[in-house]
Amino acid sequence: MSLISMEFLLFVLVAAVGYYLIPKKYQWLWLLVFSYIYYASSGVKLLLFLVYTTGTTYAAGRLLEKVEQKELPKKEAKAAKRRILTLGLLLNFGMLAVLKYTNFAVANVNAIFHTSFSFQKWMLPLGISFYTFQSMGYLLDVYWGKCKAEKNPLRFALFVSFFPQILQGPIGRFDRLAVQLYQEHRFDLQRMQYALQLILWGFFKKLVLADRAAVVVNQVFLNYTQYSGVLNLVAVLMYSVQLYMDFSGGMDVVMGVASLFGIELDQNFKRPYFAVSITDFWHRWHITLGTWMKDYVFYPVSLSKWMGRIGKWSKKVFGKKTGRVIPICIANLIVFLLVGVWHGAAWKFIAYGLYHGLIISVSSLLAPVYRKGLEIFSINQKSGGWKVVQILRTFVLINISWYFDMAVSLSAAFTMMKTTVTGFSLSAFQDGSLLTLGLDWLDYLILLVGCLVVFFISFRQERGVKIRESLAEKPLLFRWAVYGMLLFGIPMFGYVMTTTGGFIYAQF
Amino acid sequence: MHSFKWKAVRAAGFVVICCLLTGLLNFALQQYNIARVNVHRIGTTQYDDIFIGTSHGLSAINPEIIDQITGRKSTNICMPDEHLIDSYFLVKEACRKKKPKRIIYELDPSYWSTVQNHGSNSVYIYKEFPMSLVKLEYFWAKVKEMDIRVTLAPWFYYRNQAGNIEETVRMKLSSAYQNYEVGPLNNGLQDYTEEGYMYQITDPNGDKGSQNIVLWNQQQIQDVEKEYFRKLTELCREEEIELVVITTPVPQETLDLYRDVFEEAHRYYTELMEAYDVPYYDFNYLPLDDFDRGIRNYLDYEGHMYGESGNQFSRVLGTYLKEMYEKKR
Repeated sequence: MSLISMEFLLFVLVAAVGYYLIPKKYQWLWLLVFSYIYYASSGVKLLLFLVYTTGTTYAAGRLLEKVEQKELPKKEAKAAKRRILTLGLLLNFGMLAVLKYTNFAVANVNAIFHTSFSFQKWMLPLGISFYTFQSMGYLLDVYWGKCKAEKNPLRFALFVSFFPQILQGPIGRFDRLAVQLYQEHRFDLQRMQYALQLILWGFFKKLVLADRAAVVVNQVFLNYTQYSGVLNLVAVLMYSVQLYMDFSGGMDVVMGVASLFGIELDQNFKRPYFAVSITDFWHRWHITLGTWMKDYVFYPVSLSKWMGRIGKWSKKVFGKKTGRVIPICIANLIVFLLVGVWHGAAWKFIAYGLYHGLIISVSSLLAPVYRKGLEIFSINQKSGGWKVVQILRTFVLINISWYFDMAVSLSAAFTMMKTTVTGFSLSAFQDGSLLTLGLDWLDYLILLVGCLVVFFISFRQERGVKIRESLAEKPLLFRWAVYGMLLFGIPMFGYVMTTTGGFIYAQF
Repeated sequence: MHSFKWKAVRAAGFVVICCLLTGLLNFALQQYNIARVNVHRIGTTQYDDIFIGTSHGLSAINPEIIDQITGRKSTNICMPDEHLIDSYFLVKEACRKKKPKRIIYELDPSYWSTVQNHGSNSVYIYKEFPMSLVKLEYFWAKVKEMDIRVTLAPWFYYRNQAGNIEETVRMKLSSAYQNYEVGPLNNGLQDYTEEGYMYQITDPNGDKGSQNIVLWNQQQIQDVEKEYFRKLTELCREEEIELVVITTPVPQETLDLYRDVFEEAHRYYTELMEAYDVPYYDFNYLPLDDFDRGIRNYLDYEGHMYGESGNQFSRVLGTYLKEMYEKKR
């Protein structure tokens, strides 16, 4: 069920109206029913995977708690809990790995050993990466005693399947999300208003900007050998627009829809193109994946015994300062390798992840040199000018990584990078080449104006202005004009793809 | 003043204003199209035969000529971008009002292996349906899944028409529009007849388009096409309507260039129709008397015919349909 379809609009309308009409104690059950209807609309068979993840995670959580209650000797309890956790993780990540990465493995085995194993035609359940990560986060939290295991299997099923977020996140945390899901919610007009504003804003970003930029992106990335360096560059810049507007727009819609039911999901974006470093970027981009990786991979890895041994060894070999950073670098590389793998079963995604991991690791290692350089050149780190330089530098580095993310293959990414540098000529701006990429001047103008609007609003938010609250203080006519412009601007200026153009992250 | 009620009234007022503006914009921007005429025609006039299908059928089937040969009364509601799902609901709508005796489905194989574009054409037939259970079923089967902008506010497609708003409004207020006349659909390039034939005026210097046409591909056949063909056969059986399937001939040049593809398609559909026990006439492989299949008689390589060729083909088709009818008797 596409978020842009009439079906979804009617579905949400019925779900929301019923939600506030039924007795409040049944609201969570209502949400569960609608969440399962929503997921089943993509294919009834897919429900099996959802039920599998829900069932195995619920059972593992309950078993962990039972071990805790049994008052076994500490060592025995720890071993038993570890076995349960390992089984839970294996069953779920194993399923994800088999479904998502088998063909990647087959392709590589065939290429390396000249074998001819056949590819599998397994279906990839929608949103499996998101709900598996969310469920496993819960299981680890129960294991570490951060939260209690949910006793009611239906309530737990709602935590795994809550419909607005199941297809493209954000990856929720049990302690923050479950409480809200099970709470009783009263109708709040102000919240509804804010939710609808967010939904409209999300659709504006997706339909007016992302879908329009996608035309150029698809044209150039799929036919990259035909285009000059500057057009490769234009395409990658367009991809930075497309991906941000698509993903963050999708998140706005998802969060707006959740808010209609009184549920505030975790923020997934915080103006990422204002980041001053790659580390900062990951604190602003796909935040819930970043924090998941930090809590469930980075810390466990960097605080593990074997990493402690590496730390001691590296301090001996490289000295105290550098040696202390090395375990963090290794943990970062592991985290970003996993981020790459999470994005898809292809070498280009692994390169994408490792690229980010390497930059963060090298930045950590060279931090003292960097600080010294700033001192030598007397650069005021707090000045606005320096911040702009940092933002631009980060933006360039991020755009390099988009080559890996969007190119058809790893070798295509390198070819495109090379063409961008070696075949660079500004003549494309004069000879009309830009107009051969599928958009006309009006489209470029709409893109430019739209991006400026998003930039202006992001800039105000960066300065601490709360846009919705500040809009609420404006006169009624002004507000209506803004809503009207969004409401009518989306169908008027939105780019309609000839075939369904879904959200990029709904394919994970 | 800032009570809940007052806020709710204001919100409702805003929604009403938005609905009114949407209606006004739709009225001022959406163009007159043949779906309006066709849906009205099948609901108001009794026909023995109804031709359903694509733009190929629209330019190749002239009901007036066919009727002269068969002695029956027929109409052509083939339309551009009409996929089987649309044809199925058109037949259902026809059955609701004036049940036909025979349905002749013009099958363009390439439509079966192409996903229907989510453009304005994909809902223009639905929009002309009067409110009924059939329309609700049509909505549930197709429209509910489509982009909300296409279904509610397809202004993007008409943005180039913004300068013609005055003319569009005048047309919509005219008696021609109110009376479902075909006149406004005609221009210097084509004449649309009362019974649904698009007479393409011959242009000896016209561009025939590229020879890289959309081809049939068995691997890409869409489930929705197969499903709605099955439904169409079931509907015809339930309503005791005879179903005949035809494929109009493409230019000889196209057939020669893509011989394998057309032969494969011919085999596939011959077997399929046999399985459904439906008569199938693929005019790419049937004797066409003196019908000239040279590209000069076609508008393009895809197989849209010029008016005179369409008339000539209609004579051939009429003869086949008559023979078929007489054999049955």
